[in-house]
Amino acid sequence: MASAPVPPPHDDDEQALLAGLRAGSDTAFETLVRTTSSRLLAVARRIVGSDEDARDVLQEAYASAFRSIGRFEGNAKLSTWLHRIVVNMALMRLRSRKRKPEESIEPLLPAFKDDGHMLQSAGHWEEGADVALERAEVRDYVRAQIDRLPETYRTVLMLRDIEEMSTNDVAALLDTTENAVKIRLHRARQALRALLNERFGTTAAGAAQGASR
Amino acid sequence: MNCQACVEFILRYLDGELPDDERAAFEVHLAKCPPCGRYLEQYRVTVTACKKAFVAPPEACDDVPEALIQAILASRRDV
Ligand SMILES: [Zn+2]
Repeated sequence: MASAPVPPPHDDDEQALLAGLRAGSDTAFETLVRTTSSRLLAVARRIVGSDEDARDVLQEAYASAFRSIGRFEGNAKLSTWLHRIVVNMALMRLRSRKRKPEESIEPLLPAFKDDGHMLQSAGHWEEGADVALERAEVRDYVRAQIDRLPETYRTVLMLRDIEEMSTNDVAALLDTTENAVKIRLHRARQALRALLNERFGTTAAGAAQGASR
Repeated sequence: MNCQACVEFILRYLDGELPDDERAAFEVHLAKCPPCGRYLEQYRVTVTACKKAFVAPPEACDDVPEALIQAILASRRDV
């Protein structure tokens, strides 16, 4: 299809690009779109799931960016600023199509006895579970498990562990506290561990834990 | 420290946010509790799995359809 992606601008070029954007230069806007859209489309797709929604999100995000470029203060990188706009638009898209009430995450969290021991202690995982992740089929499986998480947990997991945004940024985006983000992230990872345990667990006790819901 | 507290501390332990005394207690518990050791290891693998799950192979790198780029550029004229 199109030619190889245009390399992102060097730091030196960023100031020139920004000046062009502020001056309303068509060329500058086109450069911005051509150098950033591929990565940002992937970001939108990771969050909203479908190609169609991702394209809409990307379009909305750039429209928003074009409107607010005058307020961009230049203390973050342009790419970071755009990334945040895309994530925000993608989250709005997720919220707008929210269908069913959210399932509880409790069944996927470890349960404890009164003495503080795990009800079902962690069993062994197959050797090289991390090496298995080199296989596309295993990565597909992991993505499918992430999609099984309740939406609010999936969102925090995506933003923190995959988009690698800071706790502070995620808290601001979700209009909540940093502590709430940490708690949700911890639960999301624990729940995903239980789901992956269904595949990687080798012992009966281990394998039963995730499947017991 | 018991297993429940140990498991609750994992995120802050990995982020280096536990105060020294809690970190020490956490490590003492891990050293004598193989199930919590396995849990921590699996938690780590889970985080790695998340990161790797979305790494697209280079050949699948997204080409943005030219029509989409043109639509984006056109939208600016309406702003
Ligand atoms: Zn323990």
